[in-house]
Amino acid sequence: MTEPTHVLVARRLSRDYGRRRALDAVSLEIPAGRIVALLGPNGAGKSTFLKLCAGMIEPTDGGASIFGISAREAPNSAPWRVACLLDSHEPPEWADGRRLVAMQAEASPRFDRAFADAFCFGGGIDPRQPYGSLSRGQRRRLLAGVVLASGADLILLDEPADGLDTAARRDLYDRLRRRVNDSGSTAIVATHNIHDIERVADDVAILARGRLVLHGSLEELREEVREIEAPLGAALKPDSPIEILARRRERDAELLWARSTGGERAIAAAFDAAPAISPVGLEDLYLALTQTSFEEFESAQEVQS
Amino acid sequence: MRIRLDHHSGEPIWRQIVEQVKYGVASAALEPGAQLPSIRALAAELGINPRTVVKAYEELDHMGLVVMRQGQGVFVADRRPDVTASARRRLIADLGRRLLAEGARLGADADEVIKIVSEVADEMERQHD
Amino acid sequence: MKLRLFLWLMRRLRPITTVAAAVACGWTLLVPGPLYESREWPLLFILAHSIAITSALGRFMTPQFAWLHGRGYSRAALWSHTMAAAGAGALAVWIPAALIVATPARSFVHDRLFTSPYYPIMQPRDAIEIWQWLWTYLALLPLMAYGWIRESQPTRGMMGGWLLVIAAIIAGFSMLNITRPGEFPRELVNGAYGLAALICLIAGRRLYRALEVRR
Repeated sequence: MTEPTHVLVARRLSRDYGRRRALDAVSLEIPAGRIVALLGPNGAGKSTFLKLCAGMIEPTDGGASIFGISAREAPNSAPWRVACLLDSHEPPEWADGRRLVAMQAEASPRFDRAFADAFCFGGGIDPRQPYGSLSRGQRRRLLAGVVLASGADLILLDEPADGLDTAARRDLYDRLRRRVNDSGSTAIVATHNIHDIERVADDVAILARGRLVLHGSLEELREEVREIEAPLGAALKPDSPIEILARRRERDAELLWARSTGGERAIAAAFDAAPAISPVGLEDLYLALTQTSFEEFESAQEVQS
Repeated sequence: MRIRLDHHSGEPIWRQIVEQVKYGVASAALEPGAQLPSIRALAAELGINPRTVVKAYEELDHMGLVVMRQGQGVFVADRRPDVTASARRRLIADLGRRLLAEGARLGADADEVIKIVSEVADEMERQHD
Repeated sequence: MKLRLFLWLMRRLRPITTVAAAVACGWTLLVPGPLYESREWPLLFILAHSIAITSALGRFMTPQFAWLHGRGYSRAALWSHTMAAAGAGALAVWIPAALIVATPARSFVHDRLFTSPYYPIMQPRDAIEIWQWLWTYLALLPLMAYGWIRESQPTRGMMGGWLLVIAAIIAGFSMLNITRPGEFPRELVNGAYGLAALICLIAGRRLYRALEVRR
């Protein structure tokens, strides 16, 4: 396999809406052929990040480039290489499935009609039924199918599986996986459903209050991140090669989430007392990270006032 | 042989594949010389990134459990890797210590752990037949 | 030419076109006296219709607008098709109205029903007016589009462009209203409008490249 090239490079990417900073100095690189789970609580900046990647809005500071060109220039010079389905984007009520598919086919030179017909019009959707009369699940299935069929190199999805039943959600993500594996395209999926996306994602990026609090490959995180239950007062040895991602004080112990390239052994060695160390799933890690940053924010507010 | 993944355990996927192939070889569900699925096919079957499969196969290759033949595929190795008896004893003793420690944490003494291990060995033997 | 995109945009104009065509045809057919005697009404109508077209095609904050811009059409294609749809929306109203004048329909109605005293000279006199209508449409639409986009972009120059457009329209309209077809200032106004429209068309294309889809 050839060395991956970066599809997306963000450098201190920031965006304000009025006086509110929606995205704050996010820097990351996403190689080709990966599915990235973009996680974060409501208002963390996920949609803003996707819109900046799609070149739909102008960054206030910093910048993003896709395929080596500025993201803001992409809608002019490489428009069909990006296809997006954001939560706030919807076709008009009168449009039926046939029209939506035909329209994407017109915009996308590499459109896969067989895929679109099989996926969009499976699950009991009549191609002539107006969009407005479809259920929420049918709508998402139709729109996500159109985006997956587009043949775009960068696919941006915001809650693509919202409203779908378990089987349809799994089907959607399996098809996304297959498209990414077969065509080498890249997908960024913003979602609250961590359980579903953990099955399929290669990388994870977690936003909290506009900041990127964690980014990495899931496989690496599985190796490097551990949850630690240390007795109160247990100290970390100085100069330990581990990074504390989050910590929380319980009544009789301290919970820590730590990362080290040395894995479990390095983390165990960093404490002077023997702690209980266990692997941590994405959902627990996500909660630890976003709650910590929330608490940090709260205490920062208190200091200011 | 069917590989089953747990995506939520926090255990790296590549290591889960390695462990299950190892188990398959040990329980003789995978015969020497048997062909494993191609990287592409296994990635599609499991719904994972092909790079993860590559990493697992490379690790298995490194351990001497499989051989990757250019242009032909991946096969279960014909013979076990050469490990001296003393090295083997050291590695297995190390595993044993960890197993006993985990057992103790769960409230099982050494006798119970040994009993369970021999039962598992019988099970694997039966699957082989 | 991206036919699907064009039809999609035209569909947004459907209610406006239906109402505007009915009003325009009814008025053209029934207004008594030669058309040049009541010139201010067509001008006001065209202004209102142009505003309606521009706002219907430029609803930048709607989910539908955002969806369209995430499909993979280039901004240049979106701009040119939007302007083509605006022009087609105007033509869909102008053509029936112009046909009423150009065919003997209007003359016939006024001769037989209203026994108009203008009968034999009505049709040739009216036929001159309808070309002014078309020109006014084609000149106004790019102006409105440019002003509209410029207004909506918070990161760009805000009110400057919009105010200029409004001033040009008011000045031009008063001139058109007091001069007769063929008189010198009218040709000047038409020429200036044409030039402004061309500039706005080019400038609008530039502006549209960086249009923010904020929804």
